[in-house]
Amino acid sequence: MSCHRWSPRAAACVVMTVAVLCGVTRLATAEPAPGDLTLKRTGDDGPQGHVATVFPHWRHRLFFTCNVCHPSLFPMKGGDTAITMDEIEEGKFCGTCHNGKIAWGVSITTCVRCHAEQ
Amino acid sequence: MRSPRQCGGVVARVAALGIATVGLWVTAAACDPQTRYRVLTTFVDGVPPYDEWLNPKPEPPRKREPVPVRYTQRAAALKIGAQPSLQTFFSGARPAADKVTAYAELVAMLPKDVADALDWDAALQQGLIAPATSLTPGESGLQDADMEVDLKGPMPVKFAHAPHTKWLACENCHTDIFEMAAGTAEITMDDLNGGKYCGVCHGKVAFETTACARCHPDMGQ
Repeated sequence: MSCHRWSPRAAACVVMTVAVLCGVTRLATAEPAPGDLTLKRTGDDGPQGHVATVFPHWRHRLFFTCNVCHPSLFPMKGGDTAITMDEIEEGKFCGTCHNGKIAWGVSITTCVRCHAEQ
Repeated sequence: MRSPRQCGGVVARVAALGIATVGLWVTAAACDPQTRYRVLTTFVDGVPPYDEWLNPKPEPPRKREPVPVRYTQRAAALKIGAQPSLQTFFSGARPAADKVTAYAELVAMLPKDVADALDWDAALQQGLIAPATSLTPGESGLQDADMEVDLKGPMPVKFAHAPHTKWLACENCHTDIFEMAAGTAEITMDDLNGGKYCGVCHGKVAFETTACARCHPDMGQ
């Protein structure tokens, strides 16, 4: 007698596959805005490390004109500046404003504002 | 799968009997907690004492880790309106666009250009956005310039400094991207689309190179 019932393992497999496909579709449909920069992560703190961040350029230009950040903090051709959290905390790069004085400062409570799952 | 009979031999029969016994034992374990506990302790290490296992203490509620938000949700999590520091920097009244948390929402709110894309220049002119031009309050980091440059060629362009100087200071473009002297650069659309000259910004953070009529008035769209 043939037996074609789903085994729990096969069912779990199907559920996982559907979940992964849903996740991939959602990622693919999350359209970035013009000028968004995905900052590549080069840190070696493994799976526990912070996730990469997308810099939303459009939000920043609501508050500041180009000359405020370019070219003194960041060159006009974007994406090549290596930035560390230490440098930000020293007041360089993003830390020029993100210091709690001009814009919100970087702290353990603000990580996910930039290091959010994409 | 082959049945034990097909395999033949005493070994297979003993194995089948063994498997059946263990199977029965495990099945029986589904009914009786004591048997279930014996089965559990046979196969698994670290099982708590019987009484504790039978009546587990309610676990204290776990403190939930903050869940990282997805990109589309992240802007909402920024709570822009509740930033005391930025509100201090911008002391006066601010346009409604400041509180927008999704790009699509901003596009819907601000004027469009000939290519139906967000027109940042018009938004700035109409006061719908009000970016500061310097980190020193009350100081302007921009210099006015309104000279026009005739870019000659098959598709002529009259380059106007004026809209650019509402956003950019001289050193943003000169001399890394363009020499100060007019007419020294030979610019092609391929250059632009490759990210050179105007293409450093246009097609990335400024309007697309497909909005032809914004530079080539002859190509009215």
